[in-house]
Amino acid sequence: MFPVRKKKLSLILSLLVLLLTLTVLEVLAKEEEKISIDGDLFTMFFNEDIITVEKSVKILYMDMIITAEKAQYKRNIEEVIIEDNVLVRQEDNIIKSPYLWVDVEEEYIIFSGGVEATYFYAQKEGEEKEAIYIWSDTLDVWDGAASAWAQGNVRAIYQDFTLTAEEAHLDQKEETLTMLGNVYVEREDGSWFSCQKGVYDFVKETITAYGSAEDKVKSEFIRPKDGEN
Amino acid sequence: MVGEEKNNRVNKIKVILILISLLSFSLASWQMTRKLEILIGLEEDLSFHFRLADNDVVGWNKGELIWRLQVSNILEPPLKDKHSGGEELILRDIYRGYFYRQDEILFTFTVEEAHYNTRTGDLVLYDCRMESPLGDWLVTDKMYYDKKRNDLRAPGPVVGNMAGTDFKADEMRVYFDDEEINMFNIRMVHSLKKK
Repeated sequence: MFPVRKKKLSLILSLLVLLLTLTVLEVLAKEEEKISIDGDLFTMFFNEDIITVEKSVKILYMDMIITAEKAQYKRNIEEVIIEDNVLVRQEDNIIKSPYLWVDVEEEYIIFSGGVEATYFYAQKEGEEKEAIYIWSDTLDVWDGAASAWAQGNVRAIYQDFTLTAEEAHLDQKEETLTMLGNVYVEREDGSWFSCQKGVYDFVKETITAYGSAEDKVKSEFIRPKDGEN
Repeated sequence: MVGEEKNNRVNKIKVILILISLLSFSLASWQMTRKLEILIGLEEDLSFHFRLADNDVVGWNKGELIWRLQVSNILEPPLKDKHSGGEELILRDIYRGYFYRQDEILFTFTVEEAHYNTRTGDLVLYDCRMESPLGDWLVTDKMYYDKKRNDLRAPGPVVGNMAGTDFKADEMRVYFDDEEINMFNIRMVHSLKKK
């Protein structure tokens, strides 16, 4: 009788210990997420909620390193407005803009004032990464910076393609670049096509162009000269 | 009649004498208070007041209440301050202090010891912990209140928490006239709720 009871008791105890360990781990994991802000000069006025950090500002948020000359936020750091020479590094990716707004809790970021983004992408693991350059008026970043939505005067360069559109969505999970509105794609050899929607698949290395009844896909391909690929 | 008149005169003289003695006593008391004020250097433009009755040391600047220290019982004898030429009161057993702005508490603080210069009106606080009415707090080794500049400076490392954000700075300055707080070379870390 007793050994069976002992076994049950030890099983219950083990389960309790496991549950406790899991709870502690969960709490620790929850505490891990942080935003840190460093700067040379911190300014706050009496009875005001706004805090300004200036000169050599460095912000660590998610896996991004943000540097700028000025950052402003409310005491509870729900959102941060970052200005002057904003430079964001996330792994190899670099984004530059004059102005950046960060919704800290929602993990949503908007660059504005003329954005220059450089993403690096390797088709296969171990392969050398290739740069995708994107210029736009604004750039929204979310989903842990995996998704980026460029809007207004979008221009992108990847390999020997130059792409222009009204909007572009870079999805690093799906590994696609979707361009929307007056899309124009040109290769170095002079080939081009225009459409209303174009999707570049980084894995398949294909571009799919979509037209509409009013605005069909137009294209011109240059046949390689003899001896050229 | 003559005897009654004599008695009235004597009474009058008595009253006059009592009045004179009362007046002399008041004058002597006033002189003594004045002497005490002079001793601790409070005669200067009445910008600082020392209230023995409720053990408060109060700092004023340009007619505005800036700080107040509640000293529980000990007021060390004044020491000559070689640097300022004034006298320095060493205040111990302080159980609470306050910094004010427009008669409202800006910070409350606790300190181990405070030195108050009677000539300059400056105040030095040692081992301070300051708290704001919103619950923000900071600790630092030393803070100076400079009456001339009307500012408070913590020259050493300052560590604290503001609205849930931990911070550490090399230096802090509070400008009462500009109603501004500056911290230099600051690092702030704010924990986020994980989704």
